[in-house]
Amino acid sequence: MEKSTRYKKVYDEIHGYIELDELALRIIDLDVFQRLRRIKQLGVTFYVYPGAVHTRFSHSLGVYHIIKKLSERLSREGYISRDDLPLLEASALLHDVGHLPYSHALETFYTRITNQRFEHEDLSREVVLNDPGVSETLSEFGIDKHEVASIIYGTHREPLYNQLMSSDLDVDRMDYLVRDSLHTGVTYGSIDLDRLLETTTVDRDGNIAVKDKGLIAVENFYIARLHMYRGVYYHKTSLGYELLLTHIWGELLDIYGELEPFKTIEGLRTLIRRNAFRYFDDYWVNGLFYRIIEERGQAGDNIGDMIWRFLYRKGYKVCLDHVELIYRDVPSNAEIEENMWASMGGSIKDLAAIDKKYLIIFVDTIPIYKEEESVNIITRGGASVKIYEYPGSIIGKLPKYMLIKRIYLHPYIHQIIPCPTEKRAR
Amino acid sequence: MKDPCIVWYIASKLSPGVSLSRLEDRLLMQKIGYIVQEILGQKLGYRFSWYSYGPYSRALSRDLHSYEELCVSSYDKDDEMSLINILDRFTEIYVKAQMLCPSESMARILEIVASLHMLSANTYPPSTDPVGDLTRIKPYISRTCAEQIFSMLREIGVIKTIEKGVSSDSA
Repeated sequence: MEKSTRYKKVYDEIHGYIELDELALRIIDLDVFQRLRRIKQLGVTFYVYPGAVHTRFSHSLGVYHIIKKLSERLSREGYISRDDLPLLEASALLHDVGHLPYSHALETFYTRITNQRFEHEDLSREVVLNDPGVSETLSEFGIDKHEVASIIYGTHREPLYNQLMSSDLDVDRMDYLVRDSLHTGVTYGSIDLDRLLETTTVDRDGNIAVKDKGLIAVENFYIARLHMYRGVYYHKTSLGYELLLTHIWGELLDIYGELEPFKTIEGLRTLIRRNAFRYFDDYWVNGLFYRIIEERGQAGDNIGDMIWRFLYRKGYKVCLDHVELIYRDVPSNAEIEENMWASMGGSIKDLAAIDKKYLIIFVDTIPIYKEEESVNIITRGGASVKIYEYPGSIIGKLPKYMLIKRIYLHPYIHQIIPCPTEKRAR
Repeated sequence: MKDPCIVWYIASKLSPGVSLSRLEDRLLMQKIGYIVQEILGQKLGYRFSWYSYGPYSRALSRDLHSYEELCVSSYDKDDEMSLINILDRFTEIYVKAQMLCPSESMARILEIVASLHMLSANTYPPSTDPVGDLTRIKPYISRTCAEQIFSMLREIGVIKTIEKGVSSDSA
C-alpha cells in the first residue's frame, strides 16, 4: 500500500503548534485513539475546578510532542538510534489508550475486585497488541507492536526507553503537570518545561539525568508535583466523587446482568478484541446513568439516588480531612485505618456495618520522592549524583511522604450524626 | 497472607534486620519479589519494569511500606509451611549463585539473578546476549560472575532457551 505523506499541525494550548506526521495522523485517526477525546484527563476533578475538562486526547498529543523533541535531541547526541524514533513516538501517542472512563476513578474498583493491582497500562498494552486497527497501522510503518507494548509496560530491553515513558522525570509527567495546572488554575503546579527539556540528558550508566544547570527546574518539578498532589489530585471533594463513582459502578455491576463484560479485567480485554472498547468512555457511562435514573427514579435510598448525587454534585460530605507531611518511615495504611476505626464512636461504626456506602474511610500515603526512583544530576565534572545527595539541592530536605486520612459520610447520615471527633484538617 | 508478606518473610530470613529505611534493603526486596513471582511462579500480581537498576515494581514498593506491620506480625502463623517451601526453593537458587561469586554481596547476587532472568524472559525484544546486555547496562557487574550465574540458571531450567530471535521462558 502506497503511503501518502500527509503533514499537519494542530494547535495545543500548552505547546503551541504540534507537528503531526503520517504515522501520528494514522494513529490519531484510529477509533481507539479518538475515544480519548471523551475521557477527561482529571476524571471528576471538574466538580472542584470547573476548567478541568481537558481530555486524555490532548494530553496524549502533548506527550507525543515532548518525546519527539526530547528523543530527537538525545538521538543527535548519540543516546537513541534514529531508527527508534517512530517507535518512541508511537508509544507516547498510545500510552493512555487503555484508560477507563473518568481516568483513574474506576481503577480502584478493578483493583479491589481482582485483588490485584490494576493499572491502565495493562489495558493500553492489550489495545496495542489486540486492536486490529493499531496492529495494522504500526505494521504498515514497520513498527513492531510488541516493542510499543513493552515500552508502555516498562519492559523494553532498552531501559532508557522505559525511563523516558515512566520514571520520576518522564514525558508523561512533563505534560500532565503543566496541562493540569493550566486547566485547574492551580498555578503553583506549573514547571519550567523548556529548561527541563533543554537540560535533560543521559548519564554514563544510561539513566535519564539532568545537567546541573537544570537543578532548579528539577527541584521545582518535584515541588510542583507535591502541590498538585495536595491541591488537585487528592483534593478532598473530587476524591469523594471518585469514591462515589467507584461505589456506584460496583452496585451497577451487581444489579445489571447486561454489564457482565465489565465485571472483570478479562471481560474488558474481550471488549478490546471485539473492537467494542471504543465505546467505553465518559459519555457512555453518563448515558447509562441517565437511563437508570429514568428507570428507577432518584428518590429514596437506592442506586438512582446515588447516581443523581454523582451527576448533580450532591455527594459525600468530608467529615475528617487530615493531611500530614512525613519525613521518615510511615505507619502502614492498614494500621492507620484500624486506628481510625478504633477512635470512632459506636453509632458511626454501626452505620458502616449496615451499608458500606454510608461511611468511607480513605487512607493513602503518597511518596513525594524515593531514593531509588529519583532523578540524577550531572555534575560539571561529569559524575552522576542522585538529586537528594547533590550538594545544595533542597530535594533531600523534602518530606518523603504525604499522608492523607479522610472520613466521608453519606449526606443523609451527615444530617443526623455528628462527625467523628478526630482533629480537623490542617 | 498478603502478597508482599512473602517478600518480607524471605528478606527477614536471609537478611535479619532488613529495614525499609535503607535503600539497599529496599532494592534487595525488589529483587526478592521479582524472583518469587517470575522464577518461583508465585502469583504476587506485580508488574516489574526494566530499569538500569534491574527489575522494579512501584506497586511492590508501596505495598512493602503499607503492609510492613501486618507482614512482620504474621510470619509464624498459618502460612508457615508454604512459606518454608518457597524459602527453600529461593535459598537453593541463591546458594548456587553465591558459590559461583563468593565475594559478591547478597544484594548484588540477587540483582544478577533477577536481571539475567528479566533480560532473558520478560523484556522485549528478547535479549540474545543477556550477559552482554547486563554488563553493558551495569558495568559494575563482573562479566565472569554474570556468565557463571547465567550458565547455572540455564542448567537448573530457570532460563530455558536463549537462541537468536527466540523468546525464552521461566521455570
